[in-house]
Amino acid sequence: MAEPAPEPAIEVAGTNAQDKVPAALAYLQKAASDAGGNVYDHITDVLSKLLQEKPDKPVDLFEYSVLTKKLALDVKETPVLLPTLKETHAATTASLFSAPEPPINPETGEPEAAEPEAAEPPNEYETENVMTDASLFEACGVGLSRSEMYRVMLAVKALGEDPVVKVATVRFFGKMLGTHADYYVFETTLKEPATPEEETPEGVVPTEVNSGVNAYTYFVTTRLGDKPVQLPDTTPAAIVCARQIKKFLTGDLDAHVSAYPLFPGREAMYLRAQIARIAASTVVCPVGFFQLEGDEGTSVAKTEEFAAPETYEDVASWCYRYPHVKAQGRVEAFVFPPPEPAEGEEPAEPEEPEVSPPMLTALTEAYDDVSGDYARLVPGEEGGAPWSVVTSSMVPGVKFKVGGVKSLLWPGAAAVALGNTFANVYVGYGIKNAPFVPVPPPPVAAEFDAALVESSELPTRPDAETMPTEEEG
Amino acid sequence: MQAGVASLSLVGKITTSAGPDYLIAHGVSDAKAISGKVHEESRLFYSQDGATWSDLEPVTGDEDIARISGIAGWLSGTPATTYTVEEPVPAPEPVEGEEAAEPPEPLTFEYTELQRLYLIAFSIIDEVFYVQPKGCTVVAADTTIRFVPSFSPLAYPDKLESYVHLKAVAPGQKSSELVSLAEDVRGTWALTFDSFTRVAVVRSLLWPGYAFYYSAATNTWGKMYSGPGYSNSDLVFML
Repeated sequence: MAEPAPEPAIEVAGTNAQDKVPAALAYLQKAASDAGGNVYDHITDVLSKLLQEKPDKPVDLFEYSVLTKKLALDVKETPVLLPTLKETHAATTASLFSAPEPPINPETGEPEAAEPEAAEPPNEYETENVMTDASLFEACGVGLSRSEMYRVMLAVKALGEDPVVKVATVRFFGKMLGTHADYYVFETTLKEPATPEEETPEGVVPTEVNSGVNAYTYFVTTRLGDKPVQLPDTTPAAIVCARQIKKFLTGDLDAHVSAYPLFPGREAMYLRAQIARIAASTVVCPVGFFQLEGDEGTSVAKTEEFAAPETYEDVASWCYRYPHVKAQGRVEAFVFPPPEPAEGEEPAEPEEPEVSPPMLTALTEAYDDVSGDYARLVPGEEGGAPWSVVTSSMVPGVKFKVGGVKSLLWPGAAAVALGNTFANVYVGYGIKNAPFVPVPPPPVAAEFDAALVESSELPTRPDAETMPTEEEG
Repeated sequence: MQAGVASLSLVGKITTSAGPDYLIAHGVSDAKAISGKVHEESRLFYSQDGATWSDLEPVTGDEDIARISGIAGWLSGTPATTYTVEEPVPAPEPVEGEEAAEPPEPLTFEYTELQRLYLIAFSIIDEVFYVQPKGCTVVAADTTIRFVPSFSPLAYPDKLESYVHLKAVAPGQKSSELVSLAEDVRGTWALTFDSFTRVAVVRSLLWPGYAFYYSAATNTWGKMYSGPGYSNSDLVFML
């Protein structure tokens, strides 16, 4: 084995080291980059930074900062300072995935033996096939992702099985985006709806109870896994005011809705009013899927033999499913009783209530929309159906295409269908796509028109004891 | 490769009122930071079916840009649509003793939908698209902008301060300290952090439809725009 020959270069460098240093420094100081930086300054900066700050692991940071020239040296080696993210929130979502805890025997304090066969759901309810709907939404590129929809499905199940709420039906309505948190909204009908008996003050349009705009009860939660909160019933005043304002949701149900005109209620009420407007104008179904029922045509029932159309990629094959909400903020117009006519006067003509289109009106059918929640209001354009088409494939001739429509007036609302299955979803800010026209302020109050007369009365003498006494000296 | 750009990314989808939506792609080559400002050569591409992509011709000229930006309304979905902009010509001062002449015919300008599409895509990219986690890029010595391979996950993914604009480098500022979203006009960004999936979603309220996500679990991020293509001019009322 031959020993490696000593490198003559070292010898040369050793002998001439004194001469080489200035040359090496000159080389390092030579401007090398377009920005004007050079190696000498770079290393000097890094070294002086290290000596100033004296971090615990200088070698690591030296290497890192030389590599990246990141002289700010974000010192990240103190794990004590790292934030602890709120993992409890994650735990609430994770709780959706776990099996319910067996009830605890109060005598022994031990969990009762689980009997899988005997386990009955605490509450029977009906719902839609959330995961099938999710695949339809995914095909058309609307709605939520499949993994999020899976959590939604579990949340629907948790709400449906809740033995206290006792829902009859649950449907996932959608997700309302807010500035700080988003609301997941569930549309339910209750087995035992509460019937609040509230006196309606005179001159106020009464609230519809368990019918009309309040036919459904809505539950919301900002985090799947948390117990959904029931929203209050909406009132005509809230709907009318919500149509005049344009506000983002914040994600806090107790937040003030600071707007003009003054909104009657907190964000929970505003959210409920927006849901009522969005549901009435964007929940749609294929034409022929439902048929009118009853003499007055105020309710709908499933058609027994529904023949699916060839394509759903046509606005004309869809119709509104929920009843039209009038400008008054009610489904059924409320007419104030005419005032008692004074003697010798003709009784006043009662006001003509707004006439709504019949239920299940096709989306393409034009009608005079007073409320503005249905007609299209796109800047620069007028008229036309406020809907456009979505499809799962642009390739012509593909079979079993998922088709549907999406709302241009309420961006985020979409309906998709395949065969005999259809589904609606809303994912958006809860805001109508229309230019905002602020309501003008109220008229200026009239001047005080009584003459300003000088008063001859002296002001009452202030009590001597409460008078501030002047400090002496 | 054919496009001749170093990197190509999907900007998003501009929704239209009648036709198929427009998909926009952004090709970048040669991104450099010279004296605090980001310079790059960029090209835009559009597609309506996601399969065939065409170049989007840039619109230059301040007057054209001003006129096209004034056109309101949604894009129609038909690239051949033309828009006519009328501009009144100032009437000449009437000479004394003479009757005022008829006002001259207004000037008309024709613009295509693709010119509008370019400006819409350009303003989205310019204003909001360059969001990234703080510290994921570095300006190398030769002024090119490079990703940091050792970029460690964000310590505070649930704070707006953790996300920065790559474009807006304040003058005199070191290019490694970019302007964070928290320094933008207050209320223009909404951040939600899901601690279950450890994903933060940052949405622009000024450009509704733009969203940026950062996954703290996988240390990955992405961004996309899907909206009608105009900024929210009512924001001041809505917060």
